[in-house]
Amino acid sequence: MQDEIYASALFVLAGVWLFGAFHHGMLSRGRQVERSQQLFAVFCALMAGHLAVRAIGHHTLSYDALTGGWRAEVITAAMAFAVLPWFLVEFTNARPRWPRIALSLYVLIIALGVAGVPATGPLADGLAPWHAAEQPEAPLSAPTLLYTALLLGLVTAQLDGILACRRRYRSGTAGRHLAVGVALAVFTVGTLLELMRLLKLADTSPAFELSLLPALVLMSAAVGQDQRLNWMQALLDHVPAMITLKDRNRRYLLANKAFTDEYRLDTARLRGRTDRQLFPGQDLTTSHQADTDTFTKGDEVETEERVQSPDGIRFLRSRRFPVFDSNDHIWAYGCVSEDVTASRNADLEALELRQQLTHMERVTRLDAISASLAHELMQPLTATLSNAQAGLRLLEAHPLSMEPIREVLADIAADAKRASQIVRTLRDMTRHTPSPHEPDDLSEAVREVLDMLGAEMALKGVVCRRNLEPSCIATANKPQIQQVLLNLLLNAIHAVEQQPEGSRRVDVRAELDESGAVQVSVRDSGQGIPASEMHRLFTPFYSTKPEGMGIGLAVCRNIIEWQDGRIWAESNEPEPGTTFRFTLPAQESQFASQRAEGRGNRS
Amino acid sequence: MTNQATSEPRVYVVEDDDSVRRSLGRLLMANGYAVACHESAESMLTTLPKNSTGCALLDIGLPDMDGVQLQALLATHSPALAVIFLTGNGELGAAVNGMKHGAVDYLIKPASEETLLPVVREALRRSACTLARLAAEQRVCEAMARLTRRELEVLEHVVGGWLNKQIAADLGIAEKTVKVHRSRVMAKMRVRSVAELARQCQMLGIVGPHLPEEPPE
Repeated sequence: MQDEIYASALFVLAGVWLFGAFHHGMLSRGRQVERSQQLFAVFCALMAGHLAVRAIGHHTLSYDALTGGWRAEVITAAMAFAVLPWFLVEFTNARPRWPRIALSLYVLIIALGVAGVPATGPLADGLAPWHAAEQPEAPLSAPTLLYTALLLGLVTAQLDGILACRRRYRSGTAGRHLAVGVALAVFTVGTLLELMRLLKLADTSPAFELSLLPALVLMSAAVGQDQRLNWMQALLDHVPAMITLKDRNRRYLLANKAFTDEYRLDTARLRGRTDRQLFPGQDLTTSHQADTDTFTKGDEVETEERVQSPDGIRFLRSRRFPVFDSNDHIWAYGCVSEDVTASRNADLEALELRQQLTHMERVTRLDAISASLAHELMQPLTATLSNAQAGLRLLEAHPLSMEPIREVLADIAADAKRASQIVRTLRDMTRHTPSPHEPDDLSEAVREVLDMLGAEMALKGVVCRRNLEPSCIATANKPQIQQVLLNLLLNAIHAVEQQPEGSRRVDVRAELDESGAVQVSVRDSGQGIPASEMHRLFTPFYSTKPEGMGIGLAVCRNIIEWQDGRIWAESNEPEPGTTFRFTLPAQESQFASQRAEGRGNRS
Repeated sequence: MTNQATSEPRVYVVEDDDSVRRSLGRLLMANGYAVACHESAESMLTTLPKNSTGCALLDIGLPDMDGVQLQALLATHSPALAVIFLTGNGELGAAVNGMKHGAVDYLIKPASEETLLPVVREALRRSACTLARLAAEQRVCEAMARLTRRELEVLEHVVGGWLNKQIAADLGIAEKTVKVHRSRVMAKMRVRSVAELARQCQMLGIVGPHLPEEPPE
């Protein structure tokens, strides 16, 4: 009865191995399959055959019919074991080949030896040595010795394979060698137990057969997985962009050659690790933020990052995208990064050039203005001076006549007015270009300024988070508001510049506040401004910067107040830094319609 | 044709800015000068009598004409008129150009009384000098016009430093005749000495013929 169960189990086992054989290449004609996999499939098939023969041998019904079945068992086993070294040589690429091939020949020679042993006669005394239970006092016969030699050869091949796998794993090529190594170790233990049973040291009857199962699973897992990734890896390695795939826990699943080369990483060490482990001590705020965004939104996220690679500072344009499984759940996400350092540098140069040009332009404009201003102002000043001095002379005259003096004074007054008018016009021209106030999306205005400063911030290692609500529509003069924003942002960048890299943050928000006004805030993580200085911030000619003129914030306040807005600053206590905020009245109709909508929703 | 001054010396202010023009005129008047004001070059050229004397205070940038161009026109119109330029800040080049063409000075706006008045005084003095020089030249020319051809020849030789003997030899006449011509010339030119005669001739640019290399003893 026990034998029957045993035989059935062996049949099942044989079936599993047969499946393995089909899975790994028997069915793969026409597909391009790796040689190691083909050999593994052959090995599986032979093992299945061996197990089948063995199962038949154990079956009580067929046992008598197949008295000489042990020979078939040994021969099939020998054939399967002859393939194993070949497979291992291919799989681990172990060198030299000839000792391993010799090993398989050795196993085949033993098989021939077994075939040559007569079925009856003195030599057949120890027939079917593994049925030890039925022939307890059988001595060490020739078949036993041959089988022992066979198993010893197998153990040698296994140990060699384990060592080769260990070497490969140590040199960091792939984790799959570890799996095959472990499988071989299990297999070896099973084989050793079988050997012990054979030499009648202990009764370990199902150990060998049982050890085969985990061996199969581990081996096929390792061989198959590698096959799936191989062609894809080869493709990815030839793409110039950096490509990575991470799982939900931000562990790397794969990365292409461009990526590993850029960061001088080891492909084998990359898998299963996170950014923190791979790039210790680096500021990963931007990429982490982008990772989180990809997961939460389940949508593509495009970012520009400034990273420290062994070759220096690099600018990457990265696109992160979720990868869905068949149930539409995100199981991983990919990232394709392009190195845009060169074009970014060109952009920065262009920006610098543009800044210089703007500056030049401003200087020339100022120069032009001052020349014409000087000329314009000199006329009334000349007249005033001459008039005043003429008046003095007239006062000395005798008899004193009042009428000319009255004329002189009237002229002086008129010229003084003229001079002040000139100055006023100039101020209007330079600061307050009259242009219509139109309803404008402030978020859009903010975005434009941020885009303009993106390069500047990246260059200075400033991480900028923006939170711009749509439909922040206010009636305002857009260029002037942008001038204010530019001023605030440049101040913020200046404030965080001195901070260590990684804590240079500027947060920009645009939203509607409780009163329905549009509020824009610029928050920096800089040193902050002492409370005693806070109230003087917007005073003209007050500056915290040694090279500052103290004009910027005063102008900002003027602009905002001209547009019926309010601007103020507050400390980020207890966090470091300062937040500048300004509000502008929202467009009337928009606010009204929003309120109407709110009412509609409530009712 | 008479070269006498047709009017008393005046200060002519040519400036397009009403206020500046009026104030300058007022200041000069208060200091006792006779002042005439013009708002453009054209108005000045049309109203100014020929051969006026005095000084012209010209703004460099006039609406119808460059100050330096006006200066050139005035030089033929009224040679005795001294020119002063008034400039703004950025017109120094034009002012320097004007100086090259004989302007007395240039004033940078705003010009105060302390800088303006000395310059005007100097310009009027120079104008008076020019006038005197022109009058003297006029007189000499008129006197010279009364000389005969022979007398003129003798005059040139005398001014050139020739001795009577040499003149006689050169012109092929008797030494005595030379002496007669010589005294006539002195009388017509209303001079008492050869030195005085030489000075008057130099004023008109008359230089006698060169002395012979080895004058005969």
